[in-house]
Amino acid sequence: MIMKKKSEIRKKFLRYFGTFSVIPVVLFCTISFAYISSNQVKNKKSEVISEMEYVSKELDNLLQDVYRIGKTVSEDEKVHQVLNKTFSSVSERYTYDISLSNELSYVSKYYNTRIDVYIIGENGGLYKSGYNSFKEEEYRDKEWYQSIVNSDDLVWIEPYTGSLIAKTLNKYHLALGVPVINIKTGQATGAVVVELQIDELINYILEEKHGQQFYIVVPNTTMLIENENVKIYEEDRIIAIYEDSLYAYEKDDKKPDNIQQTFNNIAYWKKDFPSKATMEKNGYIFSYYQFEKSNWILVGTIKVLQLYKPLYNIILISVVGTVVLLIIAIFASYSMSKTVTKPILLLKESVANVQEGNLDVRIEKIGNDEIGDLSIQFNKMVISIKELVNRIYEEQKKLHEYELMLLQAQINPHFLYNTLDSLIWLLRMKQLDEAVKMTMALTNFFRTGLNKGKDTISLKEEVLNAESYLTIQQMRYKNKLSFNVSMDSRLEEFLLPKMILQPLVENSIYHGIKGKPNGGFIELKCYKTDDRVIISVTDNGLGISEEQLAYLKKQINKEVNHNSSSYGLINVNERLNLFFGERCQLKIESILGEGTTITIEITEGDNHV
Amino acid sequence: MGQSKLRLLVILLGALIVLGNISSGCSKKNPEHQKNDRLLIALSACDKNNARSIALISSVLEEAEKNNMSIEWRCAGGSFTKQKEDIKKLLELMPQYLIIVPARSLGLGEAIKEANQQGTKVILLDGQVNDVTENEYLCRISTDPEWEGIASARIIGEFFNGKKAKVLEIQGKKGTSVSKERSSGFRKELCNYPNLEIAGVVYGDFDRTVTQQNIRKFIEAGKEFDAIFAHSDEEGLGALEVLRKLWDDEIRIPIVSVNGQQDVKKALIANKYYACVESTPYLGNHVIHVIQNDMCGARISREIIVEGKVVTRDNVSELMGY
Repeated sequence: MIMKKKSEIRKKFLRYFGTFSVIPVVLFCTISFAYISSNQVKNKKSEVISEMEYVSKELDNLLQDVYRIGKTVSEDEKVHQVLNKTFSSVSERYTYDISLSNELSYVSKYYNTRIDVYIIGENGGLYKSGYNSFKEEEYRDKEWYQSIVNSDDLVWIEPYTGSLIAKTLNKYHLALGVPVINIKTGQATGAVVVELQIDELINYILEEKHGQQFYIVVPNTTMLIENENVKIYEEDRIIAIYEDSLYAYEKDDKKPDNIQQTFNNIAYWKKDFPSKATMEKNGYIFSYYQFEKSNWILVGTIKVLQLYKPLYNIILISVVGTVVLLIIAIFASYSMSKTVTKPILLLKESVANVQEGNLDVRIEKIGNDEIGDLSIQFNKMVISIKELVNRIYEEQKKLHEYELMLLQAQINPHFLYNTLDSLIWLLRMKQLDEAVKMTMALTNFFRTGLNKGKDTISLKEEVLNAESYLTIQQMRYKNKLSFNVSMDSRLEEFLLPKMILQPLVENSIYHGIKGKPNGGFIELKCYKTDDRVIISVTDNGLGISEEQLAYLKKQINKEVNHNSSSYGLINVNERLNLFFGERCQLKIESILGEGTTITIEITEGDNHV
Repeated sequence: MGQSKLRLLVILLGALIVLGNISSGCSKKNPEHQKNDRLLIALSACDKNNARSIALISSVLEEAEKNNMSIEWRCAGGSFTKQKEDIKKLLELMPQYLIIVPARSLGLGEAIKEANQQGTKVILLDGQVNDVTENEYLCRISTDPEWEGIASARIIGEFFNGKKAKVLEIQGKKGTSVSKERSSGFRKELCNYPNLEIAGVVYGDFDRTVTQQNIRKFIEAGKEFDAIFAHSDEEGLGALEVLRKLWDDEIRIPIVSVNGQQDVKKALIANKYYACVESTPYLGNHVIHVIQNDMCGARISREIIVEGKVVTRDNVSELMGY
């Protein structure tokens, strides 16, 4: 047979509490994380797109201002007049420098303070709208100047660090160059350079927290006819805005992945795509914006993974939070199971101790709950058991004592000696029938007395025992003793402790009849009234005085200790009480000089208590 | 719950907080500059909206670079409140020296005290702070606005040579120490020329356009003047533009201003300007000199005044014209 492994209640509690606390914790953390992360990524994406739009619009508005200013100034009549002038002296040139510069100063006031207008004349004149001083360089030799005056149209100059023309502390600029053409000669008389300071915008771009990188794409596709064949040269450039610098990547340069991806996309963006759009491609989110007045495209790129970057912290916090909550939950489950099972285990241990026979075990009161009450009940129960056991022990002890005494009484050497002596005399006298009768009576007496070692005996056998005894005594005391035994045949099988009647009839003989000169009569009656079995032993002996009778009754009722003369009666009473309990009563009635009646009244029921 | 369990719980929660802090990245990082072996200095500039300020800042930056010093700088854009914030942020970098070009003469005392408390030495540049004691800054390096006012009064006095004349004073920003000192010097010196009187005061905010507007109002109010003393070149050039338009390019009265920037040099050469009192912005070398001396343990003068120069058409080539 396979023994099923006994599971501990504590482990069960721990398992249940653990399961019911861990599952909600894990579920809560998982759902919270999923909810927060999905919102976070969604918000982040929309923030990145808004950021791109903000930067694009801001820059586009500025470029449009730059464009308008450049066009207006380059078409201004006074500008043309001054640039067409040939100065006779430095003094004259400076006079115009001051006057035209003063007039240009309003441009910066009316437009954006980040925009400065410079005019460089072929005639040497230098004019400016702002407070910055000129660098005192020969600008007419510069490449950018040459590209402007040699161009038929506007020239956008890609973002650069420092200023082309002025002494300034501003870091990043871009510019629009507009050639000023003499209408009559068609020759360029100078260039208007509108320089836009983009420090604030670039600082914003660099400081933005979402990790989006911005590039200005300069599509530069030229179509040339070589050997009568049309050839397209794509010389696109990407100006990347890095911290502390700008870097222009050419098409063939080795470049970072996102810039390469941007290059790959330029071809699409240059065609019929909308002026602004956002797309997700190759693990990047690309937002692009085509400026209105320039062919530049502003591109914002961010790795899709970057959107998940803020989640690292959330993941970390979630994991740590979950682990801590789990530890707390397990800890709480452990504590709770311990709190609940500790008194139960204590009870179990105490019960085991009781089982092993230790009835001195007591449990201190464990709290005010049901288990606390149980511990009180347990203590009461153990006390009761102990009392009961003690009582039974004492009763058993007494019973054994009584039985021992009974046995001693049975094999009373005087009785045996006297009986055997009488038997010898009968045999000598050749009264063989009498001898046989006495022998049979003695045999019956011992047989029923020993009763095969059993403690209980049927009333029939018990009566036979008493009758055998009476027969022996009658033969010994000849005509001094007569007796009558009657029994209701319904009571033959009624069980009772053995050797109940013999002591009573013995008492009747020795204390009642023996002292009477004319002998006496003993009547043993067993009959039934209603639900009671009544056994009475009546003698017409000496009787008992009232004082003695009262004292005897007190001894029976255990109000006083018994003495040796009353021992037989007390023994009978004790044994009947032990056997029948309160169902049995032993009564004694006696009148001095008239006789004594001992009545045993047993209410029917289970025979043994 | 037993004490040991409570302790365990507290430890767990503590660990959570610590991990949370780590994850949110709130631990303080050392400023990058501390890794750098170069001496770190900080500059809080008042503004960079005029040629002089640009030249002043550039001069300090260039000199620092030249002398292998690391410099962090911030510009307050003329805002006193922003300058206080700038100083706070610069002090977080724990520089050894803090150079302040004050936006106002009052109110920076607290910030300077904070610098002293953290062991950063303060150098006041091109301005004055009145709510600090001399012990609270290492040195003040400045031009001499009062002398500049005096020199300007002398130029005008000599121009009129005893003839009666009214002088229009164009002051910079109200409340700035430079304006106060220049005006004080000018008026003090003007007392030596009883023929000269102040026709009125116009505020130009050190700005060409603002000056033009205010002078127009002054003229439109019917007030007359025979000379102009402008506290800055920008204001002088603004006045020049108004008069040029008023008198059809002919400048009939002397204009004298303080600073010496490029445009004034041109105006002097073009014979549109009478004189300029140069107030050099190239104070960077003085600043670095003071720092180097201090680091060597040399005694530092509490005040270094860099004298200016009077420039007229006759010696215009001497004007640097920043």
